[in-house]
Amino acid sequence: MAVEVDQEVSRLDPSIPLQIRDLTVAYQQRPVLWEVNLDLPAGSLVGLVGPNGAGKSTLLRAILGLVEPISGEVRVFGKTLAEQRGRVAYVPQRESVDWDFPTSVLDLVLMGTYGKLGWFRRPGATERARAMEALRAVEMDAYADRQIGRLSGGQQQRAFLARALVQQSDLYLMDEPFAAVDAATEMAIMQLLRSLRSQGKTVVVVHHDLHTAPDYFDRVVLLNMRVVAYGKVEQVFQKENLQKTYGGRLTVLDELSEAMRRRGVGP
Amino acid sequence: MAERMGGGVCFPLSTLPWIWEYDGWVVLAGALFAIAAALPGTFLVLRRMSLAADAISHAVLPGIVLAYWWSGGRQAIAMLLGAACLGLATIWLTDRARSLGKVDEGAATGTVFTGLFAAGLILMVQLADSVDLDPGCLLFGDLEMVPIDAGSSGWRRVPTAIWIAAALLVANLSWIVLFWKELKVSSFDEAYAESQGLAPAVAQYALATSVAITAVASFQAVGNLLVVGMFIIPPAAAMLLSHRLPSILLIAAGVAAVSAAVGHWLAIELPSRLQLPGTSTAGMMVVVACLILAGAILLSPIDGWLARWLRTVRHRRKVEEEDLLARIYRQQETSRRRPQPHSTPSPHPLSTRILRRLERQGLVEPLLDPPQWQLTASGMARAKELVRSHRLWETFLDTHPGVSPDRLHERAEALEHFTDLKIRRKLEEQTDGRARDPHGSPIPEEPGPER
Amino acid sequence: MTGWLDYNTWWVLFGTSLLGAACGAVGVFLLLRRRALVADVISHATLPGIAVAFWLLWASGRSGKSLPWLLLGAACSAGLGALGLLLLRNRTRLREDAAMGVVLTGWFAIGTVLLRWVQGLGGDAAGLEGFLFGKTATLVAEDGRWIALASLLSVGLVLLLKRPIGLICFDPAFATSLGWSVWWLDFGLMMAAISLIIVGLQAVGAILMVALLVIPPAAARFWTTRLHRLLLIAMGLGGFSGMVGAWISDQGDKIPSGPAIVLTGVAFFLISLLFGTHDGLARRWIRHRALEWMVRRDHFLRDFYEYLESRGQAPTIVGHARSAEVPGAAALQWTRGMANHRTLFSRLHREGLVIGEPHGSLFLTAKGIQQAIIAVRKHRFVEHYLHLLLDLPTEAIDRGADATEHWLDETMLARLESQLGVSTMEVPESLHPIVPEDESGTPSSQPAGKLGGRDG
Repeated sequence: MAVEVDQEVSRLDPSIPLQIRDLTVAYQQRPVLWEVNLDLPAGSLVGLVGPNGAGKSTLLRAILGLVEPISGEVRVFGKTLAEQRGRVAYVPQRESVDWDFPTSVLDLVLMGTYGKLGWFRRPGATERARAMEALRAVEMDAYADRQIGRLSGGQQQRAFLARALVQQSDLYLMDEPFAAVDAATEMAIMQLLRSLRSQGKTVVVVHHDLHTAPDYFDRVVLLNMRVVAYGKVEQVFQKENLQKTYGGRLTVLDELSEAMRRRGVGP
Repeated sequence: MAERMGGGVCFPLSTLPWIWEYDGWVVLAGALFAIAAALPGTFLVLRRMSLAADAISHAVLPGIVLAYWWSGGRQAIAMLLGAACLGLATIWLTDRARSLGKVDEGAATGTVFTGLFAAGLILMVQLADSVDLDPGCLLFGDLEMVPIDAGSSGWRRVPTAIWIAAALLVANLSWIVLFWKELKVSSFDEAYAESQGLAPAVAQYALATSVAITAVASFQAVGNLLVVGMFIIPPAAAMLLSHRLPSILLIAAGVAAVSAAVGHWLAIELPSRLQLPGTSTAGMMVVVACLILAGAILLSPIDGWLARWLRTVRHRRKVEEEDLLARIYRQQETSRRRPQPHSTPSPHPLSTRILRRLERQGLVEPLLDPPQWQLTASGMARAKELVRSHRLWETFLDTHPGVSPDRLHERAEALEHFTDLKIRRKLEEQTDGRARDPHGSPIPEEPGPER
Repeated sequence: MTGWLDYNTWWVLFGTSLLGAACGAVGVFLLLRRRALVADVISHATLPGIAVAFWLLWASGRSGKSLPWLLLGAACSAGLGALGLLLLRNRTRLREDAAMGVVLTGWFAIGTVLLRWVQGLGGDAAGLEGFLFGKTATLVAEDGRWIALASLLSVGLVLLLKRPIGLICFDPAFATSLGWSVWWLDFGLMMAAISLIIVGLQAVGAILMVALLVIPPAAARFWTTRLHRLLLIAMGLGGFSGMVGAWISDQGDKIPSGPAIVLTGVAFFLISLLFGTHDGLARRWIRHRALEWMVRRDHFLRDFYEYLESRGQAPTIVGHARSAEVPGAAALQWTRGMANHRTLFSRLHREGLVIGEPHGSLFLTAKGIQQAIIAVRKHRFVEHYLHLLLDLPTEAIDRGADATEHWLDETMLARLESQLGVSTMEVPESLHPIVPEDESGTPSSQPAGKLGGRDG
């Protein structure tokens, strides 16, 4: 028989916030993520780093079930995402949303309470109180009634964060929260994330800037369609790994994906 | 009354005066249908799906014709069910065409709805003998006929169309209120909604169904082609006038109702006063809605053209005035440092206007002999702020790479008008409290409370 | 209706086919520029102009159905509509779709109001209905000639500027750098579309003109992706729809021409969707099935080979007519997790790769040996490559290799070989130890958490 028994890194473990096995995703027959395997522990700040088009956002979306993988699985605290939605909070990219939408900052944060409310209930006084608390945590309580289109970039990002905070989740997935924000907001967000970590939460952040990654995160995933390296930041940030992640040569692997695309079928 | 009925492509409208028992119903029906459409229409426009309103309204045509034919008359329920199915089918087919066929979205929509509409037209013409449907009336509506379809006593005196319209309105309002938060979050941030398990796809299909049912239920009154106007135009106007979702819905409803009333009046009443023939109420309703939209575009206090223009003008005036204030200050500064022989340049004629404005604000006062102007105490304070801001910026920008020294003045010139105390304090910190700017001019102190 | 076409009908058919072809060509660019639905807006926006022109003609005593004047009116209001669209889009907070919806319904409503009013004044607007739905039955030869002329001009313009317009569809920045003005080319495209819409009003009607501009290009996409072929096919499909639709309308009873043409176009679209050679569903399905088979076959053959290899009986190409035997029971174990192993066996038989009995012993034929060696080579080359160049741990390799090897063709294999420095006919060693499997069957490489079975 062909291969020996695969040594699993760990079994499905309800104490591990995020376990990903063999996740492969393709967009229109072009592979975007390849056999991703990860175990992320509780109480950590994990950076997801890689060049453009490396599949970082796709990884988040696949974890959240927003894209259908070709193969592989994701487990959150041992169960599927559908069973654990309350424990996962998502902060999408700021530009994925039309900020001209007629809603106030408080209403935006209140959206974070919808998931737990169920179909016909409205957010009430409790929810509003929690929302205001979240706004205070990001120092945006003074802007509660402002229309979201009139916020600066940094303020918008904080509002998005407050929406995630109000969910009181255990796993936070954030897509480029530091993109195009001012330095003060960046520091404020970082402080917030660190306090989340000290509460034992797991925060996964898609980060665009290679240089600041070692300062911000304790663990890093170097991603370029496949996981090039994962581990503690000091160990992972080696020249070789970075070269493989950002190398950019058209390797035969890329040509393989081209061939696949030309044949018109997925991996 | 008899003159209002007749054959032809819908009936020729004669010149009759306004009769409340008649025209009142017409207006009410029009208003109810319009509001019923404006409510789901608001969400369509918010989700950038305005053209889906057009598509769905066209696509339900075969359903209407078939239901008419099959039920031999006006079986409302069959039609509504058929419409709901076709509405869902349109959205579903378009989605399929797009993903399966990898067809561009606009092309997919266009293919699906024109195909269905074409099928509907053929059916309509083919079945014209057994189906009491006139293409003109079907497409443009027959609002003026509404009061005729009524009984003679009690509740039945209220025309059928009114009941239908009221039911439609209540239905649309209810489902929107019930699913308010799901609609809201899926319209704003679909990915987030899905990640929270709030099923944005359900909201999408529910909306499509509602649009289809509204289109079908309204076609008798407003016509298949003009109901689309009510889906899109009142919400578009409302969005220019408010930034809160509940207000937008309310305003959209208001615009819809007003369009109905004024539209009918303009279509029938006004021409009859002018001894001219009337025209289609439904068409006029949409035209009036457009006029209201145009009004909103011009006069919206937030970002109407008028408001924008006024803001630009105000801004320009403010900059002129502040520039002049600062210039006077600098002149005084120069003359203090290097006393000139007695010859003050006469003010430029243009600046006399600005000076008068400044005088009205109490920032300058005229000296009669020799004729010139000087700053009042508050004028001096404001001028100091401006010049301080300017020179602080120059100092700050000078220490930053990327700004060439000859551009410092330009930049500071632009920035000084928007620099408040907080920013000045920060600039001062950042420049270590230097006393002079890169050109050697002294940076004025912050004007104190003394006057 | 007569069987033979008379003079008028012939011209009309000719006109509508040319119209269809021209719309196909212009529509390709509209589709590529993602402006498909703007055509819908423009065609609805023609109504007020038609009504005004009609009124003016009627008021001045002339026949209400003077085509050039009506078309001029239509063109003017369509132009105003386009301007209104631009204005709303650029100067207000309204988004593109809302602006389009407003112009579409607003202009149409104005047209409706004017039309009814003119009717009320006594004008006989019966013929104008033809502008909404199309009525080739009332067209005469002269109309047909107008349509043909306008179509030729529009399509001529577009084909002349095919390269620059194509360029702005794919890479506007590059086109600008070459000196082409994107704005003017866009404008030219819109003008071509507008003029086609204007002349097409009579044949297809305002409401359905967009179909002619949208459906043939969309259908053409299933046959090719190269621009000049797209144009040819779209023109062909459009022309054919125009001709067939108009003919059906002429021959049939109470079939308005517009819908007939559109439905013909939709029929072609569906055929293309299903059977198109580039990307039709049928093709895709066939390709997918072929690939599925290839994967299953290669996996089986590889397992066969490795089974023998682990027992020192690796088959070679030279000499033997068939390989050593493999007990059928063992073979069954490899296929566990694959659906339909019976069909697998019988097909392997049919293709002359395997002989023997599933319940007894199985042997590879010479052809089977050859194919098995190819399969194994591919797999192991990829394994080596992934190992050397990507530094993956060995366990991960087999699964990765599994997926990718099936898409290697000979050129790529050759490149891999040269990069790895291995000669062509040898079978490289497997990177992980191949353990002889006993009857109890250790599970194959099952990734954690999976339900079982190979991927791919």
